[in-house]
Parts: sequence; C-alpha cells; structure tokens
Amino acid sequence: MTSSLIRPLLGLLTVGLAMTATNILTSSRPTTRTGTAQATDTDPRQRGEDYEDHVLDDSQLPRLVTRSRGTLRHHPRISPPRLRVTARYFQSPHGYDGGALPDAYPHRNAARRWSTTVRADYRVPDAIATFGSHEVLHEFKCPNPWLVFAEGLVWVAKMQARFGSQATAYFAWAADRPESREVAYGFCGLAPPWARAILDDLKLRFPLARVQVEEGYFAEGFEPAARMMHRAAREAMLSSMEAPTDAVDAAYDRLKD
Amino acid sequence: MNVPTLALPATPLSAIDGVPAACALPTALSRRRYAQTVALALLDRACWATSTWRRDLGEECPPLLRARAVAEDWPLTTIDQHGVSVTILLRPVAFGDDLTALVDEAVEELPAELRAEAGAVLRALASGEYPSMVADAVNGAFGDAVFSAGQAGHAAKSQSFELAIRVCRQQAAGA
Repeated sequence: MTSSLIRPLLGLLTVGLAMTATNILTSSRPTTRTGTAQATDTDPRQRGEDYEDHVLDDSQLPRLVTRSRGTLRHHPRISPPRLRVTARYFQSPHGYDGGALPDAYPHRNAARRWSTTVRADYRVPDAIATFGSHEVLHEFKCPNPWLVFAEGLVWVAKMQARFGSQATAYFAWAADRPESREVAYGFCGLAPPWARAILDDLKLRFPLARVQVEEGYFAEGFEPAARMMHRAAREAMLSSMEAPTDAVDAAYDRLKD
Repeated sequence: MNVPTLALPATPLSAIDGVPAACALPTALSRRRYAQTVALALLDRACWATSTWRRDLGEECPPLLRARAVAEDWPLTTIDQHGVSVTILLRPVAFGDDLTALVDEAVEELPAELRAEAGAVLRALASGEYPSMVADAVNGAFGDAVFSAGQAGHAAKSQSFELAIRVCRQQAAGA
C-alpha cells in the first residue's frame, strides 16, 4: 500500500534532483528565517537578483519574446496612477502547507497604506514585453516558499510592504489600460502563501487588472530553484504517506525509466 | 493573454531551436518524452492534458500536485481578471502503447527529403537514446513544431480561462 503511494513520486526524482538516503529520511520541519540561507546557500536578496539575471539572459525570456515577434525592455520606467490602498499583512506560522493567515497585529511601524509611488513618481519593473500594442509587465521573484513567521514582526512588515506596494503599482498600471496591459509574476519555484495572499487581496481591489502568476517560471538551469525543488520533492515524498494516489497523478508514471 | 512561455510540459526551452543538448535530456524518460512531444507537435495534436481549478470558488490545486508540477516543469499558471481566478495546469499526456508507431506516423508530415534523417533521430530518442548527429534542417523542423505546439498550449490556457469567465457571467446572469 505504502509503496504504491510513494511510487508516483518517483517521477519527482527523475528531474535530476539527486536525493541521498539521508535527505529522504530527514524529518521535515518548517524553515525559520535563519534557516533560509542554509537551505539555499545564498541570501534571499542575492538569490532574487540572480534569478532576474537568469530569466533575462539572452537565451531565456528574451529568446522566447524575440521568437514570438515581440520586443523586451529590461528595467523600463513606468508611471503608475498615484494612489494608495490599505495595507494588509499576513503571517505564515505553519509554513507552506499551512498557508497564510491575516496578521491582525502587524508591527507598530508597519506602513498602514501602500502607495503606488515611493519617493519618485515612477517604478522600475524587471521587464516589459511588447507585442504590437499589447504590453506585458514582468516581475521575477525567488522567495523561499517554506518561510515561517508569526504576526507582528518588523522584518515581515518591511518585506511585505515592499512586495505589496510594488504589486499595487503594477496592478494599478494594468488596470489603467486593461485591454492592452497585463502583469506577469514569475516565481522561480512555488509561490509562497504570504505572497499569494497579498496578490489575491490586491486582485479584489483591481478587478480589471489582468494578472498572471507563473510558478517554476524559467526554473530550468537555475540552481537555487533546483535546490528548492529538491526540497519540494523531499517534502512531497514525506507527506505522501497519507496522500491519495491520484493527488500526484500516478497515470503519468506508466512508462518506467 | 500574451505572457511568453513555452506552454509545454516537461519540455526545455532550448527545444524551440531543435533537439536540446544531451544535458537537457538527461534520462531515457526525458528523451522519450521529448520524442513524443515532437511527434505529437508534427501531427498537430496536443501533448498536454489541461486541468483547471477555480480559486475564486475555493478550489485549489492540491499541494502535492503543485510541487510535482513545478519540479517536473509542467506549466502551472494562475490567471486573474474580472474577479475570476483560475489555476491551469498542463500535464503531459500518458505515453501511448506504441511510441515508435507514433513517430513513424509523425515523420510522414515532414518534407520528403527530411523524413529519413528525422525519423532516425526521433526513433533513437523514442528508444531512450540520444542521437549522435542532428542536421540543421531537422533541428529547424523540430524547433518550429515545438514552438507552434507551445503557442497552441498557450492558447489552450487562454481558452480555459475564457471559459471560466463565460461560466461565471452566465451564473451571474442566471442568479
């Protein structure tokens, strides 16, 4: 019984994520902020910048945009409508599987409102692809989806205010011309629950904005994403003991390697 | 929906230029999967199966499946507009009973002068081997087929989302 449940997950192992017996048997625990750097070997900011460089490498997104007869501008300036929205913060006390919960008591210094513009009247997204009159704003993120944190923390408020105010600006930009603009968030791996919660909340406030969230976006060949997926595979395998077989699509493992 | 992605499951981006490098097809399974993708693309058939979840109705892609999708490079997209939120997953179709027969059928779609070489390359891949040499013309034909299939996968995602919006509007009109 157990082996039939685990077998579908062998597919996870075929992506070149070599797992040692030790890794498989290691108990799974949520990652604290301190543990993040250990899990990925780089600090989160550097990882994000590396991911951006990876996606914007000539062989990656630019190649696909060119092939699709579009043009790509790196780090263009945009001028979103000036507005502010009420800030909503989230906690993630149980890690990725536990999802995000509203932070009822954010840190006292947390911004109460998120503004589309900060200090200057423009924003600089990672890239904008243009296809005729249609524009796609790209923002690339590579956060650790297993980050665990409670409510009321100052670093959480800062992190989410940066992410939320930037997203507010991009949503407002897209909603300003919904027929010809869209926003695409590309995550190197799984989107963390807190980020999804912020994006979901903003979508309700900008219903006209067309927003697309891609997970595992251009992850191929990006080593930190591979390490994260190694962990995803491990956690999926550990939690598979109670998973129904169809949850991992056993049908796709018919052909043995 | 214009976000550029190669909307094909378990297919390296380099496949738009022809047979990917050996390191991008590291296992026999990945080589067979690529052979099937090219064959289906040449035959103008989908190499994916679409699954959708209406997040605005509380449906979520199961976490394990989400993890597997990202680990195995299956397109996993969430699209939002007009209050409708849909997660769309393109999973690879299961292998058919006879991959070699599929390859033989697909090769017939190519120009006559390419069939022999393209067939040899695809048959090698279908048997789990990596071909020793691939002519530029064959790479071009495979790349074009994969790119077109990727655009069709992209269109399938858009259609799934548009369908969700239509259903949502019909439900609102009927309420």
